Amino acid sequence: MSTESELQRISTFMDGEAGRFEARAAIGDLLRDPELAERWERWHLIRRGLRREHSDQLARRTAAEVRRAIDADADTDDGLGAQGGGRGGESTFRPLGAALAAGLGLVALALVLRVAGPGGPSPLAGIEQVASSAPRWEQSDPAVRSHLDRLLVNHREASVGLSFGVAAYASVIGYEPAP
Amino acid sequence: MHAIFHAACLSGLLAATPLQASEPAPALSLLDKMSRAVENVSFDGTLVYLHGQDLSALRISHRVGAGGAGDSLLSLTGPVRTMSRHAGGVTCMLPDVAPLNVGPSDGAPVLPILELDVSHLGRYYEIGIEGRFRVAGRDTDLVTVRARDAYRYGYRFFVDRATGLPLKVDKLDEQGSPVQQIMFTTVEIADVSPNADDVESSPRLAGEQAVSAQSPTAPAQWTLREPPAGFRLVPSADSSGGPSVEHDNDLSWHLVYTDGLASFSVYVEPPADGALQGPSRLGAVNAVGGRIGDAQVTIVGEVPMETVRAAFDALQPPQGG
Repeated sequence: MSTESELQRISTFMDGEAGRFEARAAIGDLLRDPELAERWERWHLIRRGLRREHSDQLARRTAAEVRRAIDADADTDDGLGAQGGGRGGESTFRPLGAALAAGLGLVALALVLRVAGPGGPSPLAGIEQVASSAPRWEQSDPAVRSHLDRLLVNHREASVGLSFGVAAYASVIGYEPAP
Repeated sequence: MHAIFHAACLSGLLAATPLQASEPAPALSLLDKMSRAVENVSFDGTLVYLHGQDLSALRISHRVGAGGAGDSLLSLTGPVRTMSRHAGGVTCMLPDVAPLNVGPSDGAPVLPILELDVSHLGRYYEIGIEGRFRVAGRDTDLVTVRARDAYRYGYRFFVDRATGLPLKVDKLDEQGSPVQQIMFTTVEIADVSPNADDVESSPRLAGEQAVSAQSPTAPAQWTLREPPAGFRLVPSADSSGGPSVEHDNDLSWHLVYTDGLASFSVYVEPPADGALQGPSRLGAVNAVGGRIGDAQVTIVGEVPMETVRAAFDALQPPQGG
């Protein structure tokens, strides 16, 4: 049974207003509580429907990608854990994104497996019909968008232009068409 | 890697003939400091990203430690989007697409250090300092980098006087109007790496070999007959001419061109679903794709559309290959 505080935390996380520790707690709640995960899924579907956003979760690749994210996250934690051990309080500064990526990956995996499960009707069917036509890259095909995202990230990592550090990824993560 | 590259480049620039712009040396020094800071300063913050009329907010974190650097971005507006850079590569969670993982073996070629001469840079940019400005409550120096033609963006860097971090970065079109702006609203400096001022002593730098950015002469490879003005191919470190990468079990070409500040990538792949046909845009990032012979070619970079189009038109398949 989800508590009020858990629901509030998930809502805050979904709105992008959760702090570092609250976000971690929210991900933990989602992974631990199937009922909460179902609410998370429903809220997203409703929000996307209201905002007329395209929903294409069935196109997601699942286990292998998530596994890689988790493995990578573990590697990062190991490395920075050593840093934290040497600098006392700095252990609290482990990258939030790695944990979020892996955590959200697990959530995505759980949702996709449920949505794409054998014999079950897709709860996304109705939402697909009101999909938005203002996607990333100005491309309607999610496969094209995904491929371009991959090439762009790849380019970023190979790029030898003036380094902006992590802020260079702002255009990858920050891009958000107006509602 | 990036910091090492730029430290080497900019150190070379600082020791070389000054740029044509007035007072370029202090500006280059600031760019040098900035290039190091983005890698060596640990920080948390919130930034806003403006492209066109759209504004979004992101939480950003960069950590430097014995286990390597770790970066993360989390969108604070709209659908949840995250990015994490770690020892295993980059992981992105974006709406409506599969979780994206790009590891070191997925295409980021090992690139050597380039020796960029100041006259080359000065032909395409005018660099100077235009004063001071406050960003996120901190004092910054404003470094302006004006593009001399339409093949590259101009920049305005607001460089934190205390740490060297760029707290605001504007990308400018040919008319000097912003096409993209990134600005910190809050930033918390956590730590400065002890190696921040000692990049030249990096073992990685010592192990790499500086090469000139000349067009490769290796036969049977994709190349640009006439790259957009000022852009030169970055040859692979293994002397194969252009980095070839394994990508989804298919042998593909990945060529990187740079003018010293901006860069774009040329990807040559077997035709497959999801291939771009025609132009595409994501903020200040432009891409163009299409078929050339039996290959799918996609060019992408944070350069104007004119640049990727010119590169596409100049692409030449391997001769006799």
